[in-house]
Amino acid sequence: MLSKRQFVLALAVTLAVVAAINVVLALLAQRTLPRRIMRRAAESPSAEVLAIGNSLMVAGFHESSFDSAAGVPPAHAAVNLGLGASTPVEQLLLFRYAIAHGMRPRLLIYGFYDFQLTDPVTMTNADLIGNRAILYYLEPEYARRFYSLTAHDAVEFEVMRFFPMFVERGAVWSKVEEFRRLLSQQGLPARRTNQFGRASDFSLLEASSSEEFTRHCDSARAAGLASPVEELLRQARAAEIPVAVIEMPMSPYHLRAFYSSPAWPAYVSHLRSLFAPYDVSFVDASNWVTDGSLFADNLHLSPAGGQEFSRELGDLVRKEFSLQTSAASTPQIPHSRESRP
Amino acid sequence: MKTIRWMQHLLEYLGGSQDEPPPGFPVSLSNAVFWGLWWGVLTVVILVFSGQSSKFIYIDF
Amino acid sequence: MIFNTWDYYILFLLPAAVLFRLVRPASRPWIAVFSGCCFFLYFSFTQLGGGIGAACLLIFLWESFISRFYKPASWVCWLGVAQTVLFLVVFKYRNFLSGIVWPEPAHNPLYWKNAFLPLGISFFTFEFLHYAWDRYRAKTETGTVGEYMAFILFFPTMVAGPIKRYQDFLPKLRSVTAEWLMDWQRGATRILAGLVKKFAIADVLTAYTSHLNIPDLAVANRAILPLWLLAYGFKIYTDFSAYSDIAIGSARLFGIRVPENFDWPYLQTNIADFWRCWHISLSKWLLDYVYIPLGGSRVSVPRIYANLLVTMFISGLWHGAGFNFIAWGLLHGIMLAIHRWWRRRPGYVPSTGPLARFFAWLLTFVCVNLAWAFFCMDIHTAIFFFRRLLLG
Repeated sequence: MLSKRQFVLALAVTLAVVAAINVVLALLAQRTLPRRIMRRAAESPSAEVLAIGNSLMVAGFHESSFDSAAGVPPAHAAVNLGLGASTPVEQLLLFRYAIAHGMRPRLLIYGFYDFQLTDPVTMTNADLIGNRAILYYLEPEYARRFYSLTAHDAVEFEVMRFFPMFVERGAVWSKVEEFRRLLSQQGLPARRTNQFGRASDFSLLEASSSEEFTRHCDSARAAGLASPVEELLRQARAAEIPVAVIEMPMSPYHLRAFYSSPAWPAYVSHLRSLFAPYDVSFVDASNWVTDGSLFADNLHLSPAGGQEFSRELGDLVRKEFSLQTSAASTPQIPHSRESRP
Repeated sequence: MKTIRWMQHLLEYLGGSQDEPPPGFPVSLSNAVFWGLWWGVLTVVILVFSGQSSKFIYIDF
Repeated sequence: MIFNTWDYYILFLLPAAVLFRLVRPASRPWIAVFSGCCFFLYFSFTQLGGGIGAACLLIFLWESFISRFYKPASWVCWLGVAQTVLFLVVFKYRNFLSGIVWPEPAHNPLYWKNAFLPLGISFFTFEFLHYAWDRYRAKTETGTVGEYMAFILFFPTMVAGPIKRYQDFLPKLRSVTAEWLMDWQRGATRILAGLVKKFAIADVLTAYTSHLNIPDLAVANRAILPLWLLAYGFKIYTDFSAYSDIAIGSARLFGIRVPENFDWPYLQTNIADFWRCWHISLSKWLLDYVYIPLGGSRVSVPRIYANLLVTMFISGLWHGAGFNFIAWGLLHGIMLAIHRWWRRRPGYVPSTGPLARFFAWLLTFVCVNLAWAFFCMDIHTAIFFFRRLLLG
């Protein structure tokens, strides 16, 4: 015979176990990538150059190579706040976080590929896992503003963000996913991997065909900048921070399969026109790295490729942008200019 | 065979199919601490493994 | 999947189970009806076919109406059987059956391009058929319309069984157990255990089973192939038994004990016992409404074997509209026939020694798992699998 007291006590013990797990996760979560990047931003108020973007920027922007080439002194070393699997919303949040913690970069470098800057950002609560979980704890009102969550997802979001076991579920699940991949790989030829995952998986982030890519170019030419991108540029302009938007180096495969279409330069031309109100410098670096072996997969540069790109970018910045430690000087930014050393 | 049947009974009891514990098993349904801990463990396992329908491409978190 | 959503527990199970306990007994069936209708509409709309999927609730309402005219030996019962079979044919088998005549969808005049399956159709139609047939044979009472609607709309078992019997369900609906704490303790434990089986075992095993396709089979090391097939055998067991656990545990929260659906099938030492322990509610349904009406074991030996094959043919077809499912069902029919012949041959004496039991178990386990190849792969891929496994 079970009494009410015993049943309620059992529930209370369960809740205590779950609460304890939440406490442990909250402590372990300090080591997750988004929080490490946030700490980096907070600890680098004197950085002269701030780089943001997704995993292409994580892989491609090599701080020390850039600093050497650009002549940035160590005390004002560039900071790469690139965040893998992020959208312009998270990138905007990291920019805001850096500025809120005293950073006043003399140049904001914003890397992109394909239609990242114009595609609307649509997410559901189920998509906010892994690095995108940053939205649960860093200015969550931005999620509501830019993601257009359904009423159902908005309620889920508001409830979940108070519990580390939901906020950090992606980080936990990624460990299970690594275990699954270990099992899955048994008995099959080895698959190439890089720091971000399985190299072949990143082809899923490309268009499925050249025709589809061309259609996307054509439709994107009717689109404006994605609202978080507009907001980012607006806030950078308000903070008087010059912005250089970089079309990131693409692998020879990607250039051949997609960027060789005439629709792509037409789209890029449209993109540049969208930057006009924001005083943005545009750099087409898509063909800066032509050696396919310098790419870890179809999209990401390898470490060696990142160094090469960063050196070239630093070189360009040194020649074209005036990065001086004196606060009195105002950088002269050429208007939407591309260049290839 | 007896051991196998006992183990089956135990698993069924821990899994909620049986209302009575197997002979010799010391934990009854009124042991609130045990069942609270057991439910807690099950809940944690569920939370850890419930994300497998998520499609992971990028996995560096 | 519905059982792994927050909505199932927070919007449906907990409120309905609590309300079911709190209201007076006469209102309980209507709580089950109302919550079942809401459940069907919500998950049909959000997960299956949108509005048109949700409109299939009308099937339940029509069935509730027509069932009021079922009387012992009445032709209306046959009408009920016919209409239910029609629902199955239209929704589940239309494209498959018409595809036999016109293989190309573009040239198939009966092809339904946006075909969808109403939520739980494989299960609720079998409950409709059982009720119509048992009313015809006067094996069950009519019950009130609310009680019958509660039976067909009882949402814990709507999506994945167990397939209930009205004569079992009705007494439990009428006198729900008073020990609600025990029910909630056991029900909650059952649900949690089911979810662990589903996520921590079944879903993990898909790391292996997702490779059961020709491109992966072609490049895999041969030694891994048995592991992949074995993984499928365990995956389907833990997956399906998990759904049953959650369904049974959910029903327990209402104070209603629905029948068990799995009883350690992989520990059985012959194929007949396997089918007594695997998807028990379906096996019993097939026994009562297919095998026995065909004559069961009370006919000539060749007819018995034919009855076994027909029964398992229907079992295969019920599982899926495809030739591979039919092949799987027939394989099991053949195994059952062989088992029957073996047991009834002159001079047969059952062996009870541990070694004999071990080999009997091993043979049963291996045969069942080999047969899964036709369940999880189309015939072409299954043949490729065995060719690679046996010939390299």
